[in-house]
Amino acid sequence: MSGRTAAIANVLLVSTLVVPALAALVLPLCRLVVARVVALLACLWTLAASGALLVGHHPARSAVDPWHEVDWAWVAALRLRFHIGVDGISWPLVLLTSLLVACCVFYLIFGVSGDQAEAESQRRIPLLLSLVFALQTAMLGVFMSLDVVLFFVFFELTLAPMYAVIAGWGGPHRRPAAMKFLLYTGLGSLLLAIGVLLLVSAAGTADLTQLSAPGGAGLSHYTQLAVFVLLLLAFAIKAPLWPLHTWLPDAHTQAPTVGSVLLAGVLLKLGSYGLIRLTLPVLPEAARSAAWLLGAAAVAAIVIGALVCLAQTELKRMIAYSSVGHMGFVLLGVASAAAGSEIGLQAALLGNLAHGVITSLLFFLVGSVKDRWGSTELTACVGLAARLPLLAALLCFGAVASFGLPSLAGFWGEAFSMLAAWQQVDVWWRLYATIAAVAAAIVVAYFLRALYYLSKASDHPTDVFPENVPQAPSSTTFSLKTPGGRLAEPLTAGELLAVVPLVLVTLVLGVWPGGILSLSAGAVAAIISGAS
Amino acid sequence: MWSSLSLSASDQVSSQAIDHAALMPLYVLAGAAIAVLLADLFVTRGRVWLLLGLSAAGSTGAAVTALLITGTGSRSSFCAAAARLRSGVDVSAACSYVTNYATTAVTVVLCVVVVVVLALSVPLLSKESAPAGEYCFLLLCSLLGAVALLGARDLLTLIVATEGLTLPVYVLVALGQARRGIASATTFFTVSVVSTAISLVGASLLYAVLGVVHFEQISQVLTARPASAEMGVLYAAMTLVLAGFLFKLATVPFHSWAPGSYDAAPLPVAAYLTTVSKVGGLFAVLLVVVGAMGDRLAQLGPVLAVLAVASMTLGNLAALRQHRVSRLLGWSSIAQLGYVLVPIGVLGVSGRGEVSQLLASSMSYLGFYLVITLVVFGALVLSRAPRDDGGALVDLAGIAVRSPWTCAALLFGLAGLAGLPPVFAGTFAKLIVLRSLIDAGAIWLAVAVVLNAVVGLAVYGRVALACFASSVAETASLPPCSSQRRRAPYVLAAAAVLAVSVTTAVLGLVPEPLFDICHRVASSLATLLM
Repeated sequence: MSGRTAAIANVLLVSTLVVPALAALVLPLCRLVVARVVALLACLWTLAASGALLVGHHPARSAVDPWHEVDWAWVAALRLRFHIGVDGISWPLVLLTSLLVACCVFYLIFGVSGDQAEAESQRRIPLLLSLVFALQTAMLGVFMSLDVVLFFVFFELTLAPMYAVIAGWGGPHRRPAAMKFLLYTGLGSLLLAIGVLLLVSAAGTADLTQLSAPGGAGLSHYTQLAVFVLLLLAFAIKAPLWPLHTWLPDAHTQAPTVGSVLLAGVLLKLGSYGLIRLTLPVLPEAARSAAWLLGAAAVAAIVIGALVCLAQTELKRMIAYSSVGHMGFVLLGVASAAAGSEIGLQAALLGNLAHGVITSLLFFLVGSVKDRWGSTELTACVGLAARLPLLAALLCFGAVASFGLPSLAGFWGEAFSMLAAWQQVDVWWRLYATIAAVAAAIVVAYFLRALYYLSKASDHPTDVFPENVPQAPSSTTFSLKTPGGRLAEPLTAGELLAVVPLVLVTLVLGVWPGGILSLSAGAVAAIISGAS
Repeated sequence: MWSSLSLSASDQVSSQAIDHAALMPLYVLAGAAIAVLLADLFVTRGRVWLLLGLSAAGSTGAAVTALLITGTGSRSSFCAAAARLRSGVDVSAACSYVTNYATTAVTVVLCVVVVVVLALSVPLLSKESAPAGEYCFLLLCSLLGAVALLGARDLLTLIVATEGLTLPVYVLVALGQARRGIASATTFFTVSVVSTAISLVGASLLYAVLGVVHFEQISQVLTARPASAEMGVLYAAMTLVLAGFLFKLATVPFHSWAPGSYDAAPLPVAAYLTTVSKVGGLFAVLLVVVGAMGDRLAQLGPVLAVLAVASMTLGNLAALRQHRVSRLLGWSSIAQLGYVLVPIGVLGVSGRGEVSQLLASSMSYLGFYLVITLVVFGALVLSRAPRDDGGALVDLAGIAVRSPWTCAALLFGLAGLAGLPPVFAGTFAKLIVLRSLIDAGAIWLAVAVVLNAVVGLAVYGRVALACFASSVAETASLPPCSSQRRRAPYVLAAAAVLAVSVTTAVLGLVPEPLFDICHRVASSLATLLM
């Protein structure tokens, strides 16, 4: 690649962080009309720049072999350098983040037409957009960091905007949910701080390319274990891994639609990405010796997530809990990878992407249901398919993709993580795979149950609307003036713009997972060979 | 100054040379204070503005003279000659008042902080809610004490300077809400006088045992006589001296005066208490701990570490339960001081080479804390009517709608106190302390800091939420603010808040200069050990 092209690529790389950050700063000052234009330009630019980073990709020769990188001094006293780059492992997630943020922006700026939202919530949209862009900066920063201290700084940067999104725009119980999110994940990221500083102090460098050289950072066994425990706790809270998941259902349920989407679609990935990027290559010994534990926790998460979902009567909460199970599959893949399975790592990477796309799709759709019907109680959703066939069909598609129908995105990650576990000849790993397979069946069951309610025709059509629909506690989303007026309202342009790209990506990932796998193959091989 | 005491030990009396250049900032401040007092008596028209201008000019002048005349080189005054003590130990020459890079840098910082505090006081003074003349005079006197404290190199000068710093503040606290102010000021006064008495007892015991009061000489005597029969008395004396200064710093278990005083004091005075007063207290502790007792750090360190952890824990937990803003910030300052002291607690257990790094991280934290806490107090000043104190948490309700800019500044400051990015200043402050602890191998202290930081998230998150509460008072109690805030007094305060916020933001993006300065200050302090 010529010097000129490289320079352009580096400008694009930096712009994926700078443009959203600037947008986040400028947006609160804008009127709604200007804010829409600014937000649209910023998210499209970032999406295009993220996509363009693919140009010049090359097979990785080591665990961290970035296609493009920028390395600037920042704070020498903390050994913190502004060192960012993308490679086959981070690029898909970078693109996913930019795509989801773009979908959220579409949803926010095209989704609300004049009479739907009150003046008050309209007025606050620029602020919400600003927080979304702040989140985007933080999340892209985490994925692109090649310096572990910088990784921590961006990891921590996700807290404040997400807290504000939940606390400012959430459902009726948003405050406790937001506080729980802040404290729980705040603890996680501060534990990460200790882990990272310990690592840097022991290894003498914060550069991820050096730290993840073959054989790890060359730490003593006990230092490795200490750092590993701290990092594992931090990432397990974020991912979230059972039994550290209890912040998730409340946060997801109370968050506004865009909050849930970014939370499930990207923020959870920070945990699994951290495990893949930091713990596996940097602390291979510790990871190997703790693989069985990680696997057990992952299987527990899968089973418990599935069982809890089966007991849910509310759609949004069910999808929130389903994340626990799905991330369980991703972590099962990571656990197998820690034990030396290349397939496991690839399954984890694919599962990450698939869950990000599919769960975001589901949250958008459930948000649409909630906007129209005021409630997402399963019993209240009876008859949805009759009234809103398109929405119901999309929900059906999302559910089917989520439980892992072959040829859709969800299938590969889950199937291959089970395969990877099975291939560890150890009897325990085979038990994990078996239990996970059984739990996968339960996942099918609870999604089908939800679909059953949605598509069920009401016995007494007149009963269904609007008296039977429970009023939303705060009538902000349910217009009282025209009772039932919104029930059958078709999807708005914003909702369609947000949803359609996700449907397409689900299909593409489902039929052509090789495209993504080939990008990360080199790095995956290097991580696994370095680990074993 | 008082070194004749130590000289008497060697039966030598000579007149001491006075380096007036070293004392120049003190002269400027004293002159400004007297000018303020006179102006208050004789000027009637535009008095408040003249007084404020004089005070600001005085502290700016002190900063400038410190930079230009005193300079960054080392100067010393009131020196005692080398001598042989009755105990047979030879001590080198030592001076009571020294200026060097550390004193100059911190003097400049303190003077700038006082200018900011003056700007924040404009609404209070211009409404004649507090007597402007006395207010400015006392503020300058207290600053004078703080600057003198930085250069003090013997126990007695240090104690007198510390008194100079705190005495005017009792009255400043009482200038607030009439009754509560006086009650709190009385508590503050009583506790403070007792703590000074304790320090003095400790100092006299030390003098009785060692025969010297200069830090340098104390350190030499301690090194020369590693073990002796008087060790018990010596430790008792050190503990007493230190306890006295920890009172001023308001660390656990000597903290009880702080929350009440913060709550009762006018907001700018509370801001002064959290900034200048804390810097003074920290310097006093550092001078005693590092300067005089350097060789006994191994015994003192763990005690300080435990106190620091207790401070942050108790401060944060108590702050969680507060319903009044200033009181909450008072508890929070106790907690924050814990983070500042933690690295000093590690001093004893780590090697000499790391001393300056640990000191530097402690000072960096304090430096970041200074600007951030000024943002918070500044935003509070803007959000309240001139006569008001910090008010209750529920009074913050609706501020987001009423005055979004003030609210943004407040949230910015709170995020900084919590250590959350995007206020990187707060994040780096936490990181530098954690780094120094981990490099020194004190993982358990790092874990304690982290757990406390999580509680801190809840403390400041709660205040942030209060800003967005939609209370019934939102429309009913549009206090006089809305009409008064636009007026001139608030313009200066708002400019000050803006300046401090921008400083915080810039320090977050470019923290290197602060780290460098703190490192140099720490190294020049650490030379006391050599």
